[in-house]
Amino acid sequence: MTRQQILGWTQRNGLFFALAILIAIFSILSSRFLTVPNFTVILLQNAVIGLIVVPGAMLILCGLVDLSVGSVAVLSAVVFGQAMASGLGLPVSLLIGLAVGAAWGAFNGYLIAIQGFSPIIITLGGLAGARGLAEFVTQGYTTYGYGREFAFLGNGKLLGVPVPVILFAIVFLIGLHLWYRAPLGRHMIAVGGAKDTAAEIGIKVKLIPFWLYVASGLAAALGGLIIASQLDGAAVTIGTGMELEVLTAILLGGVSFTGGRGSLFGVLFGLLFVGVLSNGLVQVNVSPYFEQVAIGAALCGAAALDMFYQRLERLNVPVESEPIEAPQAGEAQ
Amino acid sequence: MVTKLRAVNRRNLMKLSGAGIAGAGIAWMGLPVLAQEKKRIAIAHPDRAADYYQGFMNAALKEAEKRGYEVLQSFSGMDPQKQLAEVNTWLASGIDALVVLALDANAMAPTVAKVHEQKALFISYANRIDGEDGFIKWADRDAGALLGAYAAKHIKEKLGGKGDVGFLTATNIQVVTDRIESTHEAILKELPDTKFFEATALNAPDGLKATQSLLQAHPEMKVLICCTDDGALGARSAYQNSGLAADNLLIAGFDGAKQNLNLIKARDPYLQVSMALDIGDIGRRVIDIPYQLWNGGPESETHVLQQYKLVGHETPTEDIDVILSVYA
Repeated sequence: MTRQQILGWTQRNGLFFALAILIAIFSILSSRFLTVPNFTVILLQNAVIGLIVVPGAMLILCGLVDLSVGSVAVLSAVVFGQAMASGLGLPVSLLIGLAVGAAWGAFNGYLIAIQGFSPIIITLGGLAGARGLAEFVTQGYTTYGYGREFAFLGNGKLLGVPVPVILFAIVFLIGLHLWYRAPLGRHMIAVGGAKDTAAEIGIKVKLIPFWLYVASGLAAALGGLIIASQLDGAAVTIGTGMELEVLTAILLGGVSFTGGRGSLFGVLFGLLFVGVLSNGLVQVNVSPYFEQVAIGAALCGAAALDMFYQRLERLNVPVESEPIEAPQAGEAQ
Repeated sequence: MVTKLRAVNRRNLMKLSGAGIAGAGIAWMGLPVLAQEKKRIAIAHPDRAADYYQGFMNAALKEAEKRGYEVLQSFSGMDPQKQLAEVNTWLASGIDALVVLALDANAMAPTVAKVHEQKALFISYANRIDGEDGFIKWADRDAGALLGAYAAKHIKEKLGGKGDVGFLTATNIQVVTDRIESTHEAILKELPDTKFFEATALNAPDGLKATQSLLQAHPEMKVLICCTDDGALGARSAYQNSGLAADNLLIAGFDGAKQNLNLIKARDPYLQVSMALDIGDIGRRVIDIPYQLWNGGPESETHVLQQYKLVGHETPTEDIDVILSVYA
């Protein structure tokens, strides 16, 4: 790796250094922090958010947003719970739970991507509506006790790695491929950066966001089901504040809220930064009265450090860029 | 002919308009009288996601039906500012009594004056507000003292007198801080050298994450006090999946939620205690207190201290069934 490549990577991933500093601080303050079991727990704690963050970051890269993920997660979980309670069996109930998320995502996608409604208004409506529907479905009563097979989804391990972490890794790797290797990544940047121009050169400026909303809904549903599995109950509190956690990781990771710019590795570092911070504050026994102050200070510090590294761009480091592939004629809608 | 018809129509139109205006006037004067025949009680409960909520509302609605009152409900989602906004909306719409579980007792105090300006009643539940007309106060500090003494006894008898204690708490809700602070005090009174480790978690998903982190830092921790039963469920899942032994473990929560009571009834090795409120009695009283105030009832019926019951593995199943009956 050349000096210029290192500097270029540094510019794009300043948050990595903030994360490294944070890990170093907590490792000094707590002897139990820098251990394999604790990092497994950190990954487990953030796997669900991580699943949702991947399509969420892609939506923001396209200049869109999904604020309904927490509510879709709880709706999928409670519908699954009701399906189990009515004796439909695990496979069918799981499919129903996932279908609810995909359907809600398709609904969002149709209104926003196809009909051109405001993504903030529609998904804010979903935030209230899906949670309201979940409360209506449960009528205040939590279903619980779904058996061992379902518990494997949230609590099981494969080769010593928790299942939710494996699912997150799969989703993240797919995300990496789409973001950096497939034409879709460049198309998403084009949709978020200059939608009209993207449409003119034949990029599917409606279908790409539509399917991203479906993916977001599906990921939220899977997240809700994993939490229900971990708790062995479909509590209506599932997904509370999830949309903010997702947005924090994405924006901290440097994806521009207006679209067109961002790095999925940055998002991963953003996710891990928040996860490490939450875990570390408990490890060093920070008073709950001071916890929010500490979180706020750390997030501001990380954002400042990231900005500092981005300003290294003034060192005039060439960043490789690839031309946007124009699709075949007739491919665009 | 055409001209005559037009004239008739105009006259009819004038008559109809006159009749309409007169009718609207009568309705305007009469409707409030009709509406006031059924008194309106607004209940501001902050968390309808809580497992005990439905039992609480079942009892409240049943009592309201018995008394012939209309019940309005709202849910601020544990947000004190949103709660103030919804209370002000109700005041603007005109209500006869406001029943509030105040998330921030100090912030709610000025609202009491506004309620009284409208000749309405202000009833608080869970905690107390200056100037209230009646209340059903949850004995949070007594419950904390009881649970703290129970935890101290557990540490003395089962953990050799030494043990770290974890707390899942929240700092912005007075009921919760009263519960946790009093538990702290009661444990320290018996075991002054006990170390406390705290994390913020009110609901089950947060309780799960917080306990996972606590157990990484303190794997020997055997006592975990949660500010709500929902949080205790998350703590239970974290313990269950940690691979740590459940022997001599004490996970305790507050509220008396259905799932927790059922687990305790089944002698779950992880979840040992729920500080249970009589949810049915609270639901009944939030309607009964305004009734007593309007009808000159005694102070014992309008100023009520609701005690918690410690439900543990030693509690007879029949007693647990009585508490659970409110969820039927």
